[in-house]
Amino acid sequence: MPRRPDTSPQTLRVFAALLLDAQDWHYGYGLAKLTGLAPGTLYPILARLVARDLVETRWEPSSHPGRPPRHLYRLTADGRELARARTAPATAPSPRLAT
Amino acid sequence: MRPRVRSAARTVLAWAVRGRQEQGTVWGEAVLGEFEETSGAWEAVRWTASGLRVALRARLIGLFATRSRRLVAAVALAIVAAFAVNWLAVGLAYIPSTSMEPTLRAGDRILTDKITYRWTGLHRGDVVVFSLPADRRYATFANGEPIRFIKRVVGLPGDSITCRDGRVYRDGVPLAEPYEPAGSRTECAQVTVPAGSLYVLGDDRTISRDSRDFGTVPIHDVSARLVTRIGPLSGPPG
Repeated sequence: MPRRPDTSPQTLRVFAALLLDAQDWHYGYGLAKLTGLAPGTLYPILARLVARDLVETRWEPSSHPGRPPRHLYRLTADGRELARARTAPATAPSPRLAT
Repeated sequence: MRPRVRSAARTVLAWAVRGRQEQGTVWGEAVLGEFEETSGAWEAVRWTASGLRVALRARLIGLFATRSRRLVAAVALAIVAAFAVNWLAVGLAYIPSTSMEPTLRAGDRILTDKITYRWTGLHRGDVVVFSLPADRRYATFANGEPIRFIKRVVGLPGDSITCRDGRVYRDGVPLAEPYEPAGSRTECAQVTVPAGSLYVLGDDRTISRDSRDFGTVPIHDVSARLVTRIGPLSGPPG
């Protein structure tokens, strides 16, 4: 059965975290903290979103000399649209999620 | 202690990301770049442990590898693993002769275990695969290739083996040998098995070439123990 893409709970958590400051750049560590995901889960999700131009990236030199640069992530316009659509509460909430 | 744990975690992650290169993959570097944000030894170790998955996958097959690339990688890994297991742990072999009938028939395939007998030791009744020291009679084929034998262990070091009235005696006790063909007789000369050696016989005593012909076999020339017979892959039944 084909699964609807970008609906895994982990991906939704990444969308939600990126949407907190939708116009801003996010650090990987901050996203890991916000989502509670380990890097082994978080980065493959980011990589897939980047590959589909839903998230854009840039490098920032570290403020401490000698340390490696840091990678930042931001939703693209397409990404924002999809993230909002995916994280919006369903019009008819499914009984499993209803509280 | 704590700073050393952090620094070890950093070293491991950097190695996984970069190997001997100056620069790793994009995603490996991305994980490494966040390492300094972690606080404390425990978080650093967890960051590295999970980050290793990203770093190694990104280096080996690409982080968002397509399904077909992942399949190729999985198949290649499986083939390598199969060869390694076959080489180190278990073997598939083919029985070319009838000397172990009726236990094993010509054309049978067998599964062998190359490791555990080294820990558990060999026992009387085990069926083992071995070759002979090069200077022995029957050690090689005419073309010089070593012959691999498969025979049953009848005597361990210290056992006295002899035959009387067509039956094998070990330390004076006649053996019950249910694996022999019905009505078979064994003729042999008395031998006391030396230390580090085995006395081996084929189950079909009339045609088998075994310790009666080439003497006892050094244990270190044993390469595997029979686990089970798989049966012929094709060919007539029975």
